[in-house]
Parts: sequence; C-alpha cells; structure tokens
Amino acid sequence: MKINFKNILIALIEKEFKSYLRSINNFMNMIVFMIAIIILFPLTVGPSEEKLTLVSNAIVWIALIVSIIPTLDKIYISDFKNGWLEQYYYSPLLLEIIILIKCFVFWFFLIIPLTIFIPIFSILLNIPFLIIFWNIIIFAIGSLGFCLIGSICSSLTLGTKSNNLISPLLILPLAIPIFIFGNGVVEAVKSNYDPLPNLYLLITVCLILLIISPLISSYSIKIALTK
Amino acid sequence: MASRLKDNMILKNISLTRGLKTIFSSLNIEFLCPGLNIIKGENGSGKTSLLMMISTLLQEDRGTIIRFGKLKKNDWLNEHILIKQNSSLSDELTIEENLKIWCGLKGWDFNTDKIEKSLKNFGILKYKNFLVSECSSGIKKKAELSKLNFDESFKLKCWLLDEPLNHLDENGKLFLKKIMDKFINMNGTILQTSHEKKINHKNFKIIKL
Repeated sequence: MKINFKNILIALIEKEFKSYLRSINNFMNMIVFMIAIIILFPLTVGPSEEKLTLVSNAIVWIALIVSIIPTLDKIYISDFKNGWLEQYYYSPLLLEIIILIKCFVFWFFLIIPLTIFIPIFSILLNIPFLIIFWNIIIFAIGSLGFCLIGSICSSLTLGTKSNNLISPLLILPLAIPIFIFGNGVVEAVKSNYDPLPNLYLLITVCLILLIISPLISSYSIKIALTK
Repeated sequence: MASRLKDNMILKNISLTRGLKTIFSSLNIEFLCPGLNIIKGENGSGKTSLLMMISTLLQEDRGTIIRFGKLKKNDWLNEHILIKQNSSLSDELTIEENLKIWCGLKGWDFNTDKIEKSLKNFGILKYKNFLVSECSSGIKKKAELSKLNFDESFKLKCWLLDEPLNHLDENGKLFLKKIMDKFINMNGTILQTSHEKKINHKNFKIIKL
C-alpha cells in the first residue's frame, strides 16, 4: 500500500497544534506563574537597586525555568491516557522521529512564545539591553534542550502514579549543564569577554540531547505501552 | 501451496507473562485465513493480551508467531489495524479531526468527504464536529469503528478487534457485520474477541482460551 509520509508529518503537526490550542490554560498557567515569581522576588529582596541588579538576571531565568518544568512532564501523559501513543507506535514513521517532531512542536508553540516576555520582564528589572538580547538567544536554544530532557523524563515516568513528583527531580540534575553554559554566556558579556565559547558548549549540549533524547524516549515509551 | 502458507497465521508453543502472572504457556493456534476468528474466554483469560501480542505491542517470552509468511515487523504494522476496547480518540479534538489525523498518521490520504462517508454509514455524521469528550460511549465506539470503513482498511491483511460489539446499538452491530463480511470476502482475516453467544457470520472459527 502506498504510504504518504508528507501526510504523516502534516497530521502530526496538526494534532499537536490543535491540542495545544485547546488546552491554552497550560500556557496561561506558565505565564501567571512566571509573573508571580517576577513580582514576588523584588518584594522579598527589598527596594535596594544594587541588590536587585545583582540578582535580576537570575530572577528571570528562575522564573522561566520554574514555570516550564511543571509542563514538561505533560508532553506524553495525555497521549498515553487516550491511546494516541499506541497510534504513534503503529505509524509507518519511526517512533524516534515522531518524538522529535513532538518535542519541536512543543518547543515552538509553548516555549518560544515565552521569549516574548523576556524583554518585558527584563525592562521591569532594569536589565541592560545587551544582556536582554543574549538572554533571548540563550533561552531559545536552552529551552529546546529543556524540552528534550523533559521528553526523556516524561516518557520514563509514564505509567507511574506519582509522575508529577518524580519528573522535576529527574529534570533538574540533567538540566545543570544548560544552566552553567547559559549563565556562562551572560557572565562573559557582563565582564566584556567573548561569550561564544560558552554558547557553542550550550549548542553542543542541545545537539547531544537531540540525538539521545528520542532514542531513550522511544525505548521507555515502548516499555510503558506494554504494561 | 506456497500462497496458502503465505496467508497463514499460526501461533506455535507461545508463552506470555505479564508481571508475575503467566497468561499463556505452550499456546498453539492456527487461525482461519481468510476468515473470521472469534476468540472466546473468561474475563482475564488473556484475550486482549493475545491480540496485543499478535500486533507486536506485547513480546512473547517463548515460541513463534507466523504472521502471513513471516512478514517483517514494519510491514506487519502497516498491514493490520488493532481496535481496542477503550476508544483511542483524543478528548481535545473533534471526531472528524481524530479520524482525519489517524488516517494521516497511517500515511493514508485524508479528505473530509472520505471521513464524512464513513461516519454517515455508521449514522454518526451529525456528531462529526463534537469534541470526543462531549460524546457518549456508543458514539465513541462507532467513531472508533469508522476507521475500518475506509477504502485503505479493506486492503489490509488483518483486523484485530477487541470486543467491538460493546456499547454498540443494533444498527451499529448490523453495519459492523456488513463491513466485516465485505472484508472477509476481500480475503481479509479478522481476529475478534467476543462474549456474544449468537454469531451471525457464515464462515468462522471459534478459539477458546
């Protein structure tokens, strides 16, 4: 029988897009959570501008990461519950490629729109424009790494009852390299050093994840489906 | 003789365990190909596990499964459909979108006319724009079974149906019988689990677990 791979790609992207569009409250939760952190942090640190300048960049990063992590473990859970993961397994396209497409769509529709908020929050916290520019670049690249790590953790915890408890514990240690290299870029810019070496290392981490994440995820999804 | 062997589906000395429970040990079955195979057994006897194992979702511990002359796994995945007892439709999408995307995922052509025709035959065309979460179990089941009513589905080798008659009304059962007969006439093989006592098909084999 003739199999049209273009149809598979279109169907997959259409499904993901419509699902995210109809569960827009997930996205709204992320934004509300992020705004809450950004507002509460300066209130607890105090009105001193010096103190705030010192931690402002960290606040934006923590707000972004903490608001993303709860959504990362939901990449597969609804598809697992309503049987779509099985349909993906039966699709002529390799499960690894389907996972990769799912991660990209998740990143593009749910995470990339968050970068719009980086300049807004950064201006509120008095962060210089050059740092804002670099923050957007690092976040766009690093968040893809987060999605790929999220894919691993989400697939590993499929079928377990307390997956929302385990996932953050699994995600955080794996995300440390992204934190270190991402922060390295900003520190280099602040101290007038070349930020590119750290940026390249960040890209390397993401590229490694791009290869290993679909392999591990598909393996653990297959295990979860047979339970 | 060669073509007959090619169309065979045989389980030889199969053992399967799930967790600590042994479901089958030394199971031998030769299915009727083409034809309707009705798998009967008590609750928990392993009917669904058998279908899942044949569709490669479960891995047998021991033994051999001959799927139409040892088809490769990828070819086999493209040559059968498994319709499970619980619907595998996304709650966030409408019935039409679900079927359209399912066709797309299979690599088949998807157009609205094709989906509408299939839904109309099952008598649920008016629900096509309803979200799955808003539909009753019967409508969900009919939507699920509409997957069998596409032209491409009749070109497959095998349908694996896990209790397809559950939640179906009389009209639904009649239409399902009609498409099952059509598929068998086109040299298709159906493996169906069922608790029904009355069987309306002509050519069938009952397998007791």
